[in-house]
Amino acid sequence: MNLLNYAVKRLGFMLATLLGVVTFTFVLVRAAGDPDQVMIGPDLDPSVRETLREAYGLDESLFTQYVKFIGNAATGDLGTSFQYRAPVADVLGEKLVNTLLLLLPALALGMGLGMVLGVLAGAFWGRPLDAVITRFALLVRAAPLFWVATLVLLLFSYTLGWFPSGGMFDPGSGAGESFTARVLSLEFLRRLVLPLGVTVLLIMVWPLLTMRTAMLDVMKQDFMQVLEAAGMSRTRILFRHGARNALLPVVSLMPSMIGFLVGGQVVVETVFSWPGMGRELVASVDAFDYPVLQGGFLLTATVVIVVGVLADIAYAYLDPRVRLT
Amino acid sequence: MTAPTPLDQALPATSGTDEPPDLRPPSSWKLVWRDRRARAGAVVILLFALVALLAPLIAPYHPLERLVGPDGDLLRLQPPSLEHPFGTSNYGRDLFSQAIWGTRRTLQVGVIAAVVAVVIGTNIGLIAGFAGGWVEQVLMRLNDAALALPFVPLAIVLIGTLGRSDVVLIIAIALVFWRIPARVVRAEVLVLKELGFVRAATCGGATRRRILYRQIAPNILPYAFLYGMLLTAEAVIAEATLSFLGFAPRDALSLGTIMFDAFSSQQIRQAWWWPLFPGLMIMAFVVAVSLLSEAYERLLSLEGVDR
Repeated sequence: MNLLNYAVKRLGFMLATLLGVVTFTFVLVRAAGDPDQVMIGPDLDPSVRETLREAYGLDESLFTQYVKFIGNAATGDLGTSFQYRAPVADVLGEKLVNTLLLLLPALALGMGLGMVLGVLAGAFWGRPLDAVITRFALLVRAAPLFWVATLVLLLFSYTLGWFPSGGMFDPGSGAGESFTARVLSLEFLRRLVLPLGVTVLLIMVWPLLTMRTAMLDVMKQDFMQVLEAAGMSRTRILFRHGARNALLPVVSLMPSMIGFLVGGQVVVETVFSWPGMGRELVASVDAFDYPVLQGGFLLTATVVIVVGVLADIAYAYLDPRVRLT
Repeated sequence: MTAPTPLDQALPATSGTDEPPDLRPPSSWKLVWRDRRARAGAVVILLFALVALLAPLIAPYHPLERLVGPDGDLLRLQPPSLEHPFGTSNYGRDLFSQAIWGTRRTLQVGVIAAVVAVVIGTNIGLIAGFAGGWVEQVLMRLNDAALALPFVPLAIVLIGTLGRSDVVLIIAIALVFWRIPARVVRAEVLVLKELGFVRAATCGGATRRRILYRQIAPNILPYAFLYGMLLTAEAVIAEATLSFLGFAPRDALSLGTIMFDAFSSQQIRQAWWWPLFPGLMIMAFVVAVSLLSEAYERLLSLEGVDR
């Protein structure tokens, strides 16, 4: 099978999965009880109630509602937030920016750091350096993330006082400045350090452990010895030639990692009061803001699905063998 | 007596006794027990199980009792001491007793959720591997799709719409975690169903259901057990995470809710011990499970399934 066919097949699967998630969300909306009762309230005058039912499209058949729900979701119309009285897409869009401000640097740092440490651990397999790195990674993996985050907050913010305890900006500052200017300020960076550090910790464990195992195979191969015999420096051999060959498994890690990461983000944002998607998702439950809750889930699941399929296609591009299956 | 066969000669001498030699391989538990790390893991898991079972007997105080000191003052936020090894909360509650009771609930939810996920996953894997054809296709595509369900957001949306309850939490865990055992079991079944004993059963006229559940299923039990262990650890972390986020049922007390109380009371500034110990306990449990399951997994991959 060539790459194009493979990509088309995966994209087809992606669409089917997206449809599945939208259907799941729709069923959930209905399972929560008659939306009529939940959203409009039972005590209204029947005529007002009828008007509202029509306004929300609840007078139509379940199937029509389902089709409309899919159409709306596909065009980014996720309904209106109960608490903000604004379109859910706008509410979530704003939060998504905040989340990405934290997540993207963390992803870059975490993947980089994890891969370097993984290469080192793999190259020094069974020796003290490997033991230290691997034990550390396994401990991080065993510790509940919210607990690590809480302890980091306790130590670096409350006890040592090095960093502020939460939020993106100093509540009093920045009036009149543009969002970009505020994000580029030192104050923002100071507030970014702790949540970023915890997210990096969460991310780096994955490529680290995978890279370590992959390096063990690479180290045994002839070309590594040839390079060493040719007199190339060890650092160059490891990182330019060895690591490159151990990269593939890290790509195949992406689909399962991204779902995990999204969950971690919810926790980190909650502990550090970071006004992102994750925190909004948690808050929407207490505010009974169902449209934001369901829209947030839909958006998150979509990101996970799309990233997963893109990673699959990237993997097939890098390693033609997988296209055969 | 019949003439010795080549097989008899290959066996060790029985040193003159009439007892037939014990030719059965040592049980897998004995083999796992030889591994020092696995032994440590097993002991810790056993300790946790005992604490959970005997919580009413071990806990020195009622977990919700507001303790008063000799001078009549509430014992608010006492640091760890011999009397209160894990300190006290802002309501003067003994956190050691809370942790003991919390362990009980945390393990209950963890084990039940893991069992549900493994039973579903194993059965889907069995059916997919054995049936083949479109049934397998559909089940495996579902398996792929389950990867797309991010656990925490899924659990939040389920709890947010259906309400805070253990059942909803267990459903969320099962929905996400069935896929791993299903995948492994299917791969194992694909190998098993080509083996002689399955063909023999087919020739003997056994029904498909009987072959699947009587002939094949017993051979994948070790995998079901392995994933039962691993998923218990996952479920314990999952329960703690959601409890920490405030999604436990209102009156629940688990290791996660203790840390939720600590965080939401905003007292951790003064009381570092409050969140510290429950988290350490979860970590100890997860490490113990991975030590034991690693040894068990190594054994499975060395021997293959006993066939």
